[in-house]
Amino acid sequence: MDLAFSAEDEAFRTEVGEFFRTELPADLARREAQGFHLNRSDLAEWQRILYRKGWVAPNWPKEFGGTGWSPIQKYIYELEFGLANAPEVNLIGLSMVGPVLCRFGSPELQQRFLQPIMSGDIWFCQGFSEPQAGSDLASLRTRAVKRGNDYVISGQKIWTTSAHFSDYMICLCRTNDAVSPQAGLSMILVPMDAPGVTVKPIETIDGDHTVNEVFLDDVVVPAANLVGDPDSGWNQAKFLLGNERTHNAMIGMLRRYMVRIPRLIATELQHGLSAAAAAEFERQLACLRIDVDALEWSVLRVLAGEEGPELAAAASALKVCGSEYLVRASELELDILGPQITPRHDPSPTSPATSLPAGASSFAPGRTTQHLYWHASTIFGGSNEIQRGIIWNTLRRR
Amino acid sequence: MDFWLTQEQQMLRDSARRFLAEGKASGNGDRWSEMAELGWLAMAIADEDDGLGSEFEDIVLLAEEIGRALAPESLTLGSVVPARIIGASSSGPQRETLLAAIASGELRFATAFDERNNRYDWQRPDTTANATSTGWKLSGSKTLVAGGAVADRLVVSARLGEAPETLALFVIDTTLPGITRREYQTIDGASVADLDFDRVALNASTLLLKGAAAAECLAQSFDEAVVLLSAEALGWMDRAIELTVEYIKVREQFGRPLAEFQALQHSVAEMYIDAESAHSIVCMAMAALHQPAGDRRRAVSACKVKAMAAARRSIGMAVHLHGGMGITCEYPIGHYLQRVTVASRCLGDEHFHLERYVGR
Ligand SMILES: Cc1cc2nc3c(=O)[nH]c(=O)nc-3n(C[C@H](O)[C@H](O)[C@H](O)COP(=O)(O)OP(=O)(O)OC[C@H]3O[C@@H](n4cnc5c(N)ncnc54)[C@H](O)[C@@H]3O)c2cc1C
Repeated sequence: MDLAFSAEDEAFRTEVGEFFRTELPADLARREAQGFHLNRSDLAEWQRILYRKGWVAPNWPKEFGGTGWSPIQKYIYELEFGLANAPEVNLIGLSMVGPVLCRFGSPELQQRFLQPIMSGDIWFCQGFSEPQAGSDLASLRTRAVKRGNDYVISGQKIWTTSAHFSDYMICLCRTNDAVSPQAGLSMILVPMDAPGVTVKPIETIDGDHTVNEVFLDDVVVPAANLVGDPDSGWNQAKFLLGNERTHNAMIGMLRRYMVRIPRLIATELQHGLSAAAAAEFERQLACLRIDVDALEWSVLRVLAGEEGPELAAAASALKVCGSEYLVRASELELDILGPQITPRHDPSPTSPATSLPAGASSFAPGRTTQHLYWHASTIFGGSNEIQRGIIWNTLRRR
Repeated sequence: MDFWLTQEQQMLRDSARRFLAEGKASGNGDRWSEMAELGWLAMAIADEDDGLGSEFEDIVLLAEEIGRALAPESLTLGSVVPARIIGASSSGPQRETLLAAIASGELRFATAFDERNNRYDWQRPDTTANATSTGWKLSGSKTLVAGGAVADRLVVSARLGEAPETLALFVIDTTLPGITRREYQTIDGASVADLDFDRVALNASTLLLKGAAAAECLAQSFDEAVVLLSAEALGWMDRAIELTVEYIKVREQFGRPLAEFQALQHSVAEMYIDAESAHSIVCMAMAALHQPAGDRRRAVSACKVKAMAAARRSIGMAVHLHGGMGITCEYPIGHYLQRVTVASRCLGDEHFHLERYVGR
């Protein structure tokens, strides 16, 4: 056992921190910190900066444009990324589709997609969930039928994040009914501008637009867009979701809260918050910090762990903790800010000096909407009940 | 002791539930005049002032139904509190006219007590009223005034300029020169307003109460408002349980209804436990409203803390059990989450009430 970061890791941390300090556009960081969702055009410049630096795809093998970082370095990068209020760019394309294509895609698909995903010329969304197939993903019904050199796809996806500004959807489809539900699925890259694709926004309680319904009506897609072998979609999907594994702990985001919360307390002390209240909030923050510290070390242990059921259980624990802590951290912010979190604040792209409803401080916009959004984090990425089920399945087989 | 509803109370509850579920506004805007016709706006006005002089318990029942329906009309701050404060002022033609206008819904009232820097403490306004030869000059700002954008009259708190410790309550016409309003929506979709008063000239008759009388009346009104908001939370929770039970019985995953998974059954059972204990603490607070101020304050604060914590937890769980549907605007359950998120920080948040409870 060696429980210290190496000197190289520390140097790496400094280098990464310095890069974000000098290269991340300040206004973008400010908007990201507020927590309103940014769209593709907001993020294009930032993606180009990361791309030029060669840091846009840390999860890819080096020969395909990845960074060649160790798991610990990737983790340090992710943490500093969060702390710097850097926004993620095309998470689906870069963290999920890219690794899948590197591993399973034909050379032709790799040639067509990998470089544009890195540069930001192609954005992906993830079309897995369906109205009748949420937690029970394997029961999905969207069907892809081979016709000559094409697949013809029909069905409906739901909750598709970013579908409204994506170029492609990585679509999980049923291609075989004769086998078990898991064994009959395939992964196909569907151009969002193909005839028969319709995207409808879903209004959510945070007032933001992130998720959509995607209707597929006899959409014709070249068979070359199939990823890997026919009927191997389930394993590829598991591989894809595995890439999310430590990311689900949301450490960077949680650390962002840990940094901001003391600043909120200091500001509110000037607006009627009592010293006793401040002390109580500091105590609650301490409890949360301790939980996040433990979570951070759990992430490091998972990163160092060996593939297998034990690791799957530990990763599921990360997801449960990460999502629950996000709800708690964002709720603590609401308690500190008090009445000023009740207005429906606009994202404020301009000067923070303009007066806000309820006399709110410039910290207030985004706090409530982001809190409401985090309520979804116990649901997406495999709900917390599903994660507990995975843990149980490991324990009972021990 | 008797926890049963009388026949009249059951009728009130049933008719309120029906009206709030189906009742449409006759004019444009909300259902205020319909509520006046139902007598709801006169419930907090005494018999001898031509009101209904209702038991507080009846108003609580109504609040529960308002909560269950997530009705946008702010009955508490738009009629109950103004009626109590105006009702406590000294009698005269103005008082009778104002009370009649509340009851008939002919004038819309709002209460302006929250300020950016007083952090829920209605007793400490920074807004000041300075004496002039004809009355008062009002300066300051109020925030988050429910219904403030459409109000014709405002009940406003201020401290009297020459004697800084003197709290005073005024009723003022919102069209007076020097008043600016800024309307906006809260997260739960309610319309509220910030108001600025720039040396607004008030005539002498606008002063309703001052000194100890103002402080006591405002404290009592605050406590009643807190209990009514907590009662709304009971309505949210009851409805959230209904919606969730319905949803998980129908929604199937893994080839069977979600309701067959014991983990989810237990989660709903926890929601029930929360709702039950919240119900009990509201009863305790109602009983304490007639007790001496210190006891009353403690019980009311206990009620707000407990009811809101229960509501946050159980409604959060309800959303979670709805899966992705829980966070859509299309499904009702998410709107309860918006509401509890806001209401937890209205009329004192958890910390404010815990401090009051321990007596600081
Ligand atoms: C904001 C957001 C973004 C998303 N983005 C995407 C995306 O980009 N692409 C995509 O494909 N999908 C996306 N999803 C979908 C997400 O993966 C699903 O919401 C999730 O899988 C849950 O499915 P469901 O919503 O149908 O809920 P359900 O599966 O219906 O679950 C409802 C409730 O029942 C519980 N439950 C279900 N099964 C069991 C069981 N066996 N035992 C105990 N409890 C159970 C769940 O935990 C949950 O609380 C997103 C969802 C959200 C909310």
